[in-house]
Amino acid sequence: LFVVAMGESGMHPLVFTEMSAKVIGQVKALNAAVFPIHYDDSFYDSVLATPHLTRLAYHRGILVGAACCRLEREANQPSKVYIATLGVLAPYRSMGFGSQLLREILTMVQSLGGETVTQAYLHVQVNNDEARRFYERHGFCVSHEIPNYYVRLVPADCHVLVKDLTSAGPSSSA
Amino acid sequence: HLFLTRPTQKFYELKQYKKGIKAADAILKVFPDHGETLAMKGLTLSCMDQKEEGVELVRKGLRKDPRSNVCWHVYGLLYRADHNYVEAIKCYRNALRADKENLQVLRDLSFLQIQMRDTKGYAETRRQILALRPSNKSHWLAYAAACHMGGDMKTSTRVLQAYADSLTDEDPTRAPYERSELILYRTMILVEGGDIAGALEIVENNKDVIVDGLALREERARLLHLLGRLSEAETEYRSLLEINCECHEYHAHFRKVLEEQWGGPDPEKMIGVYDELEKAFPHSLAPKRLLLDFSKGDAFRTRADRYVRALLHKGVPSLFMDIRPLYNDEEKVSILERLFLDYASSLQSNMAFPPLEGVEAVKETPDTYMWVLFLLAQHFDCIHEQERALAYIDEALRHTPTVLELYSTKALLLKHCGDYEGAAKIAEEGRLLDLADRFINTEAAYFALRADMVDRGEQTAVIFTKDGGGGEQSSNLFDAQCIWYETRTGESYLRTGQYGKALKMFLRVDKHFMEFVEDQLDFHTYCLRRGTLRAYISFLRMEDRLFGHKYYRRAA
Repeated sequence: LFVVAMGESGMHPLVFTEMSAKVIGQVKALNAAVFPIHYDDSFYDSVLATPHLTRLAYHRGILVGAACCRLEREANQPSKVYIATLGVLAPYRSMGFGSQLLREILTMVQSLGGETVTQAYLHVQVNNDEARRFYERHGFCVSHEIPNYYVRLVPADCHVLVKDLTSAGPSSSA
Repeated sequence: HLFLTRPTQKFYELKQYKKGIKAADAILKVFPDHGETLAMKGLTLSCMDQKEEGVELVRKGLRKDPRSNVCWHVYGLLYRADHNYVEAIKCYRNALRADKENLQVLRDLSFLQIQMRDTKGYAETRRQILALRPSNKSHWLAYAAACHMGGDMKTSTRVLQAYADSLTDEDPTRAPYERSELILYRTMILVEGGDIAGALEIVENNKDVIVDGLALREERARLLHLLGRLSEAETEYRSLLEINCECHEYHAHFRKVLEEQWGGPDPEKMIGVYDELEKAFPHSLAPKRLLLDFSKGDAFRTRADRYVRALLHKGVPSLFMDIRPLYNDEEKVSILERLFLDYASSLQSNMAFPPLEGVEAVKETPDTYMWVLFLLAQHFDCIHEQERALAYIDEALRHTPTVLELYSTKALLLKHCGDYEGAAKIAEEGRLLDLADRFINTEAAYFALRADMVDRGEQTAVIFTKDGGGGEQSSNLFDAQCIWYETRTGESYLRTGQYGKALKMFLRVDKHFMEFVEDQLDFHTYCLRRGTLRAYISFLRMEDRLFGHKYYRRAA
């Protein structure tokens, strides 16, 4: 899957692909640089099982951002998409890449055949204001807090950010 | 006798060995002492893994019929299969004594003669073959090539001339490539024989026949140069540069032609010429890069500044390797270092290069800074300041950890520091970044072997072989003639004192080179430019002797 999107740096459009087994090392390296949490092999195994729910973002041939999601279907509950990881390497932030990645994910989710996905949600560490503001710009709201969510981080608490996907059209204002 | 052995022979040629034995046995029942059938049966057996019996039978057949050319021929074939060419040649000669005009034997003999580099014998045999069957095109070419190989250019030229003349009766549109190659080969021989004017004449007269347009121009240019017609050569090279300004070979010849016209090197003039070339071909890299070679001091600084930042802006990973030859010049090295360090600090604070006259100031993308760090790492490695180099590569890795080149460069760096295990580790990390990249796979395997992790090296290298790691891995690597792998593994065993295993590896390399030489035998009939090919192979063998056998002797 190759999708090219124009961003702020119009000269160098981001190129999106799906995750594949051969580049999993790159994603691991990216996530290790971006996130304080370590994701183990079982995480990547499950991600590889549903590559269409991932997006890798390449800038001038270099992987600078990646997002991995899960679809959650509980009995008698409408489907939700959980954004497990979404990150951009630090030197490449504030260029709109994160926004493009998020829009890519949400568009992909809403064009999935079958069930309608009603909600997108994710976890953000309570002190990560930058991340929280980023998602709020894209129509997410803090729903509630989960204490001691992170086993090894300080602070251990997290916010749950939620976005309702059933409203007409994605509402992103970034 | 001939028709008696025919069925056995036929089955042998068709490789239907069992049937061949049956046919032979049927004959031997009636004529148990028929030498030729015995010999043929022996030959067939030797192809069926019953070599000893086969050889015995052939010898028996020979005793029964020592004047039979078939027996001698077969005996020769057995020796050849054993790579005992000296004996094989003797057998063939005996076969020819019985039957002077046996083409098959003559051909087999000629192959071995050239294998053994018996050029005189080869030429003579080839002459005989040509005399026997002049209607066969390849016989003419082979004889000419044989004379060429033996240094007898005159005869070779005559033969080719006669052959070319015979072709004029043919339809000129047939086999255009072969005709074209023939012309070019004739010129090659004439040049080697010293008749350069003659060579040029052929080229000029046959302009339309030569289909390889580029080769035609290149030949003309080269010949004009050799003849001392320098201004004409210059014109030719200029037109070649117009076709392909990036070809450094053309540039090298071009410069020689100019310098000869000037009566010696003249850097000032050269810079002038190349300044013009740069203006004429603004998108071409070669003139800009060559100007870095010719200029010095401040002029060098300005040119280098423009050149390097353009390539950094593009994000070209091979930038350092491109400018590396400049590092022989201490002054240039310190100029470059200053430039690179200025880039780094400017990009870090402003996301832009320092201002430069005539160059538009643009905001750089973040990866440019990473490429500068990468460049600095390679720079300091090259001038043996490994610690500084490591600091830069680590910073680059922290900046953008998803770039493969950073890992392989760090591995190389660590190797230079003597940390072979560290190098293997980082190369493996890099390999995991792109499992489909064969180059990084090779590097990871190489560094593993350098760190004496032989199993790991093998496991890594086989990933890109046919079966990808299952089953008999080593044999797949062997089939692929993976010489670098065998040599490095051998060296590793050497370091760890496992001389037997090391020897095994070097012998595999030796076998490959023997195969190279063997395989050439099949090609030579089809390859007019064989002369070049041969020189290359001898060179390879010499290299092999140097490389593999140096260690071989130590291991023995």
